[in-house]
Amino acid sequence: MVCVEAIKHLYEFMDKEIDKSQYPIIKEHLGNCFECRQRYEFEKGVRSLVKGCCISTTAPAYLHGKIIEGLGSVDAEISENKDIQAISEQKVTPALFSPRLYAIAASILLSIAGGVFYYANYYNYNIDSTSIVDNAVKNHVVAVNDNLVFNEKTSVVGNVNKYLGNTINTKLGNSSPLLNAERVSIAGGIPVKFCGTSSPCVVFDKGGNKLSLQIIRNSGLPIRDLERTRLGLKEFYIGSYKGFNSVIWEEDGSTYCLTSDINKNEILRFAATLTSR
Amino acid sequence: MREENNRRKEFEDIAMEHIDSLYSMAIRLVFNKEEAEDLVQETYLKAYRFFDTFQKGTNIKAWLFKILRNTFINKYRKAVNLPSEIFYEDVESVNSNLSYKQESDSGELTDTLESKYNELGNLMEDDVKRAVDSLPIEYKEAILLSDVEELSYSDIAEITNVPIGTVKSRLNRGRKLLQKSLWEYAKDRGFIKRGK
Repeated sequence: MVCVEAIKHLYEFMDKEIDKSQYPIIKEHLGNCFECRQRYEFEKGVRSLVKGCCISTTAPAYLHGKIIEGLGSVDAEISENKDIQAISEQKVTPALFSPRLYAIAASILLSIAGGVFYYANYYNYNIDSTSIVDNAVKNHVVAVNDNLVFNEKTSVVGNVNKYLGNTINTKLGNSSPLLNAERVSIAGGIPVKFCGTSSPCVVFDKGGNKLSLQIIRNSGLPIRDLERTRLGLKEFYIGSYKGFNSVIWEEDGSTYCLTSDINKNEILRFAATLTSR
Repeated sequence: MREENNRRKEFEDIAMEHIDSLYSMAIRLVFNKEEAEDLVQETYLKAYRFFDTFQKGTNIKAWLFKILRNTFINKYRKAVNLPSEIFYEDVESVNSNLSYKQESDSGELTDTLESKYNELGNLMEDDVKRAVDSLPIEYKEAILLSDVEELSYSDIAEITNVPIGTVKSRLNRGRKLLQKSLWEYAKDRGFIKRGK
């Protein structure tokens, strides 16, 4: 082994990521070659400096307790949601949605940037109304967490067209939508960019809150058991799961499902702006 | 309820021990104790909500780091300027083979390595932190995940959402940058000491 080779693989060697067969060879070289050993020691020195200074940074003691307390409230939230599964028909008082609020909602919309994400979703064939919401929430979280960097330059997959053409058709189940540019335009004038990986969410960024819209080409979903509400002329169904709310409505034979962790009234208003053309 | 208690206990058992690691990363990302605390707390609550989706047997530390990173980017996306990946990849492929050769041809490496190593002794903890903090964010996170947390390349690739090759090149370039600035701090310190 020559020095150039040894140095080239030095990081991988030190990170224990090198091919097993190479390991003893480099080790031997470092044992025999003064210069390379010196370099190895230098690298080791730098690492222990960095590690030493970072490890000395520890979380303040009270943070642990604060988090444990937080876990408790998540537990409470989850069991509360289980209780609320009881289904009721609820009408929203008209005062809640005054024209002024529409105007506010509309102005918020102006600042919205959107992204389209295609990712494989997991609707089962035998779904009930609760699992629609569960799935919607899971998809929402996957979409939001896996597609964080929305601009075209840093998006992992900038070339969504490739995915539109191939992946979608082969991977998705029957009830899964084919989302295309035309469909996206229901977002009513909001500039929507194509970015992301693989299936059927449009993700909106509403002042830092993420809302995802899923479009399901299947009007036969059993959504009628969910809590029903009306806003304007439109009828919506609402469900919640793990602190997320989903608003579901039907339009032109497709089922639309908007999910977010913002509160029910707000998400409902947002949904209403999406339906009105 | 019992089911929830078990879930809670399991989560506390396997996740909470990484609080210092997460905090240490958080503070290198946001440079502010309160925000770092918020970031870590948010990470844990999010992780707990979606603990069901954690694949048992995989590395929970890596999973938590991924959530931390995502939470950070979501919160600070406007402030963080993530540069175009392509740019780095291009630079990498052109320079990767040259750098060592150039270094050794110049003779600088072997002449100064020992003195460089000795100079490191002059560094103070704040210098190291400053050097780490001044790195571009994607180098910094790769280095911290690898050198401090000792996570594997594949875990780092998963956390940072890039291919393994990119992780390697970020580590390469990041470590070189870091050494350079550390050495400069060290020189300054040595100079000040000698000057007294």
